[in-house]
Amino acid sequence: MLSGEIAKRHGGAGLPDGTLTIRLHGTTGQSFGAFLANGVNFVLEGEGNDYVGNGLSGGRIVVRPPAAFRGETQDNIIVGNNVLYGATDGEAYFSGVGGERFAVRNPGATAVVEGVGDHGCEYMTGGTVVVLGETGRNFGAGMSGGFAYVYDVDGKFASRCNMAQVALEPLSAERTAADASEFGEDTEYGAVDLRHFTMRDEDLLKELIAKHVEWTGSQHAKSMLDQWDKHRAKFIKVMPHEYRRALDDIKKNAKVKEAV
Amino acid sequence: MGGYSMPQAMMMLIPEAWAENPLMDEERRAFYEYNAAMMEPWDGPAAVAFTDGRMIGATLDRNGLRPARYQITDDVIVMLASEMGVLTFPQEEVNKKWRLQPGKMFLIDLEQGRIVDDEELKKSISTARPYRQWIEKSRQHLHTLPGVEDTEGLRESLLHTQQAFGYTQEDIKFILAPIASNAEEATGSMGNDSPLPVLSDKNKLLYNYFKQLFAQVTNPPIDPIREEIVMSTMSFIGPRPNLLGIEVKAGEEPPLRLEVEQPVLSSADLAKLRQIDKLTNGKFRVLVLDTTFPASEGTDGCQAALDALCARAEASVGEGYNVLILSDRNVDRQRAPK
Repeated sequence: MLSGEIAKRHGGAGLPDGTLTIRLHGTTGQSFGAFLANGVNFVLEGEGNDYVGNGLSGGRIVVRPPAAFRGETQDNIIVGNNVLYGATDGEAYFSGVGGERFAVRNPGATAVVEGVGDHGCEYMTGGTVVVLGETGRNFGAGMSGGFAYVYDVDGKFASRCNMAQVALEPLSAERTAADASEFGEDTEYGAVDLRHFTMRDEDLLKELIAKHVEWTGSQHAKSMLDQWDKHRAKFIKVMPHEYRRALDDIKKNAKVKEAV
Repeated sequence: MGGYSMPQAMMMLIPEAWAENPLMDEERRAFYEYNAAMMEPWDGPAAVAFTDGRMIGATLDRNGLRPARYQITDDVIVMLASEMGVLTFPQEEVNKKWRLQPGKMFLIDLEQGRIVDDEELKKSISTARPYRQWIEKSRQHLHTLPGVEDTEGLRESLLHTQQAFGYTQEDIKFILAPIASNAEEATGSMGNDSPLPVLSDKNKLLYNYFKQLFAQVTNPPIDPIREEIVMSTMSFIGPRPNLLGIEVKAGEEPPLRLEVEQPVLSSADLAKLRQIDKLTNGKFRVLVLDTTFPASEGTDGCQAALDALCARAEASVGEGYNVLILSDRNVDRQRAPK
């Protein structure tokens, strides 16, 4: 309802970032923060069930364990299955493990989580997902867009990945384009997150982990940043072949625009 | 009841995806493969809880399409439910929050007073019997048997035989032809408003009496190409292990297994089955039972013929035949299919 009212008045753009922050405690029902509009933060201290962030539309969802909970965040589940299913935009920071089919069919949301179940990022078409822990089987099945950065805890991530449509790459050292201006203002590239062009993998990854620490206070993530050199080499970039083609086409067209 | 432990019974009823799962260890795969002959796998989707008073636990279908979450407190209270928040505990007393994973089992042994780890549990059960050895000793694949010439012809013309079984032009043109030419079922969407065969006074094709009302709706939609690790079509013909006789006594041979990769048999497969005695030098003994009866006896003749067929089939098993073929090849002007 809240997002509906915002959308009626401000359309998809919603409100400026951080206009409204709603803090909650305890356990939420299914589809927590579904279709949350831009400008609204949901900060939950507790845990979520299935479909958290279903259809997220620009808002920010944060789920962190209660202060009194002593378990390690990367060893305890905090959100359920099908999280961020069909989320078109927005951010989500979960200091804990997600269930099966995390970010399934996600076309545009950005998310950081500390572990996922089977079929992570299945059918994903856009957006950015950072997994700071172990994944289940069949990761990246049918994935055609977006980036996923996975921390390969035991060196066996490749055996859990569905390689039919993705390539596993180290973090690239250079950017794929100097800066956004190369593409002009009318970036009508839909689901493409411009940061995928204008930022080096390492910078984007560190920025997202830093935001994760800022919003959730995760010690697990903080220790990774503190000893970045030790952890950096364990991150693997999951790169869908079709997304690589799309990015190259966009760059080619951009060059044509410049030359004309 | 049959002497199975609770976890073993659940492993048989709701098996993991074992067919194409490279990450599974050999013994556990052998356990599932051996028991696939005894129990049709139940895919759910479901989260199933169970107890026999001594053990209590839960297991999730192999697709993982139902949630099941649990938390454990310091004074060892375990709360498991499909959703979190059903019961709440002071957070400082909770030391573990996790979920049931697809095909995994969560088990508490109340006598030992501990949570039995899925790996440990399935290791002990799958190594309790030499399942791989039993399979290799008793298994016979139909497709590895040498091909034999199919000598079974039709007694009448193809058209007359098709009419005898109730085939119509429509069945041939719109259903069978596409399957034969494209190797996939034709997709139609207009529905079928003809009356149910049991209510119709027309001569209906046998298969029309079977309607499959089945739609597995998942949210999100998934497809067997991306998640083919859970779909297995392996099927068995003839002898099956005895569900209630879990012990294969020392020296006794494990029950035979005749396996086919998928349930639809071609005429070449059937030709092999007719001569399976020779092909497996007597390991399997086949008997062909004629399912036609004199058309002159009319419908009441059919009932008697059916009873006779059932009695004959049952008796033949007693005589040691372990593969029965119900054949309607003798259909002709005088003999109608039952």
